[in-house]
Amino acid sequence: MTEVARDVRVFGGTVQVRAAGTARGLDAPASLTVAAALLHGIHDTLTRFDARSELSRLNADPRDVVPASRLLCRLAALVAWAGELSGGLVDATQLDALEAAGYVTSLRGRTVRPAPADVIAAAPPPRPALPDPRRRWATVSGDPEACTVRRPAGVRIDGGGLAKGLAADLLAERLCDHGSFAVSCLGDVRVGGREGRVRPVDIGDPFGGGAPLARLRLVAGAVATSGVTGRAFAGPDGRLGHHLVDPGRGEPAWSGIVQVSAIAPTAVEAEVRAKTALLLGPERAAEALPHGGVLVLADGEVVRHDREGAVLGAAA
Amino acid sequence: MSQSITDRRRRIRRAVTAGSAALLAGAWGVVAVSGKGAGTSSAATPASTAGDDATATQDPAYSDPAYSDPGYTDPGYDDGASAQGQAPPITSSQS
Repeated sequence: MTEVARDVRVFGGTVQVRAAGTARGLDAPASLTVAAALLHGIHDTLTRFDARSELSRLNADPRDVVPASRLLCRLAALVAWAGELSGGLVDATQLDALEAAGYVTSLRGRTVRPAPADVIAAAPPPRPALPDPRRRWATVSGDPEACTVRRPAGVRIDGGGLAKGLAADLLAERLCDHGSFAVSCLGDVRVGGREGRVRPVDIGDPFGGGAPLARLRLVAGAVATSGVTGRAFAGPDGRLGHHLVDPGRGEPAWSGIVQVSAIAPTAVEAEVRAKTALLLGPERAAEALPHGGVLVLADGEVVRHDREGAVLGAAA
Repeated sequence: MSQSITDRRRRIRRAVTAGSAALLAGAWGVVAVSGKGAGTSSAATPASTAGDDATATQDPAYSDPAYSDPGYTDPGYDDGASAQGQAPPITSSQS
């Protein structure tokens, strides 16, 4: 069955959505048109780079409890969930540290971006990241019944990878009745469909090479890739940084891992597991990858971790 | 424009409106939305009655040119045809 694809420019990049067959009375091109519209809606609600977005208005709100759409409630609930799953390493309340490092505006359209080799060369000695002892992520909650988000005023949320993973999962819910579908949301991939076909998922090269570093094969599930070379930038002091913050130190993390691709049932879980593994460093990364994954170390070595149990219908 | 294209556009418009309402109301994938998503105007739109064109065009997101024309000629589509069996590959890379 022919699969059609559509590219959608949101979240500072390009999301690709693919589908084949018919579902809910819509053929694949029509479903992808709907998916594109919904992606724009998710982006417009959850971006921190637009003061008019609901997330930006939440972050500026002086109240501790703020009325919110259920989409924003869902993101807020993920903040605490991600913090718990990662032992505090995936901390979506580190926006102050992220901005202090230089990531204040969208990187989209920046003409001068550091080369991967320069980012790695400028890195300090590797060390595992630490959680922030303040545990602000645990103070964030979303109540979908009351349609409110609760957090101490002044605690700001960065949608970041959680918003991308959530978007991929929400689109998957829309597309799952098609014969096959795939969503690649800036590194967060969801695949599946009624036909149960195997889909290769190629892992991109963090050093900028064109050829994929590895190929995974999934019937249904998610792969998320996170790393330190894709969203790198020069900070206000000229030092090169990236978007993955070490929460305990309040600065860009450097664990010795350049990139992690994690497999999981959902994109948002894969996203959290990939970041956790990267922040833990090479010695403990496997602890965060129960469904398997692929690491790329600073010297270019590619380390593949197999899943611990049968999950996802993933093929070797 | 043929009737079938008109009908198709109407179906897409209905799905966009229903999907947008469900998205903000947290009832993703559910056709009927109770309107409990208080606090946002979009969430209060019952998806079950959002199918007519007059309602659909009130959706502010619908004016976005990225999806205002659902025609088959959209350059975003490709015919990355997959033969029976394995699905076409997709890439996961840092954004």
